[in-house]
Amino acid sequence: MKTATMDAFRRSKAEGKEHTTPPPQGHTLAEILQDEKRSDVFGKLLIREKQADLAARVAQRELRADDIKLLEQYRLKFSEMITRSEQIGIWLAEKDKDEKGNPIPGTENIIKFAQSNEDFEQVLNLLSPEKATKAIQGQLEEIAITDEERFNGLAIAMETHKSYLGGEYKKTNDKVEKMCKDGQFTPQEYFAALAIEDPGGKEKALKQLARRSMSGFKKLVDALSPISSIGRWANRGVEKLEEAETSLETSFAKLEEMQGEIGQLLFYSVAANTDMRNALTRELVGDKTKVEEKSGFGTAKEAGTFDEEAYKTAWETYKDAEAYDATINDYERDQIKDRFINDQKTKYKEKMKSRSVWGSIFTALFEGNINRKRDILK
Amino acid sequence: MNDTFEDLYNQFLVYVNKDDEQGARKFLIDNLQKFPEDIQEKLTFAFFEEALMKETEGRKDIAEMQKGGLEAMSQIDKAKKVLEDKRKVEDLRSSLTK
Repeated sequence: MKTATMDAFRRSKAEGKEHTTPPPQGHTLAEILQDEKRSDVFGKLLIREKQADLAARVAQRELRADDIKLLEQYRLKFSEMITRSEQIGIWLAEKDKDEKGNPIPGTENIIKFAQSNEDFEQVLNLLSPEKATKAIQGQLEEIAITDEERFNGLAIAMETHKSYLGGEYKKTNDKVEKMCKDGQFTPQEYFAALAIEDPGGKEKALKQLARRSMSGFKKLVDALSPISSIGRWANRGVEKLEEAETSLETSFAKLEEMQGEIGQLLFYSVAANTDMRNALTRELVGDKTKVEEKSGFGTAKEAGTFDEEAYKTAWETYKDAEAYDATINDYERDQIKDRFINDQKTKYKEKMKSRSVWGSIFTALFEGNINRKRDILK
Repeated sequence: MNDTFEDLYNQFLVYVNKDDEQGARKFLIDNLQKFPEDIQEKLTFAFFEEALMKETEGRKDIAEMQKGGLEAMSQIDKAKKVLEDKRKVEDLRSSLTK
């Protein structure tokens, strides 16, 4: 009996604890190091955590006894981040879920997604949905480690998109459409009001639309309003007249307020085409600059392109500062080269102010150059 | 012209130096498969990210606003009902005092 109680107690304690053994498939240190891409990302995590020496020892397979504990600590962190990116990436590669909730692989989601964007659709057609999905999943893993802020933004966007495709937003949208119908105005009238450039004029037109459905009701309210009814009610000696009056005034004020609110809501409610929706969003957040800087091409360009001569000069300065010529073996020289390459990438990322598609493209191409120019570091 | 990464990069720079954003974009998409695999993956992800962000931009905010609209509408319905009840009371009183 005593044992049973203790067992139950131990079980209850154990249930609250997250076990880390065994790690998920692909997350053991051996598996990470055997996988070329994952070991590269793991290396980036170590560098990010200022463990470049440990990363070099892993790469050289020259681990020290106390490295194992340290590696396990970073492996756990890596596993956590990879799990997050896997959870996001999995939706892209699933067709459906089975009875147990496990994903059934398929390309339906990514195809559906690509159909709403011409450029991405072309990319998908060139690479195949399977290959594109794999590339995206791989990049998600990398970004989860190297750029958490960007990763979190993507995670939110993916969640929103999932909800949309899952029908949640569509349901709301349908209800709003019904509301327009009930409001007794046509979609054409609605779009004409939305198209008014002057914000004040636009709001006025939308409020008028919102009032239309209320016109019949307003007559009723007017008939009951204090001015017309006080006399009648007072003459009849009706009790609690003041109470009724206040109640009507409050209700009517509230109604007016709601009408205004509905006008605003109609103003912001969704339009069928993306450009209109984006324009409405810009109105909503009051950010007009996004129109000019939508693609980020100009800002991304300001960070510069790869300049081989400048790169060589930077290397000469760096290697003098690091006493490269005094090194005694290739291992030390490689370490200095790795640090220089990482330093150059970090500096470029700091220069890159654009978080747009062009920011990502310029950075990818700059890093592509650096990775391929290692042999000029002499 | 060869299709090494360096050549492709130099061709891309021609568009960049001319400030030809659309040309640069078209060049990258048309030549995507000629780029080395690691670059292909990064470019694919960049286009995916752009598409995702465009697609979801503001959707959440708008959906929240729509939900608010529906809520306001339901409040108005309730207010209407309260006023209609008051009208019925008045009609009843009116008929009783006749």
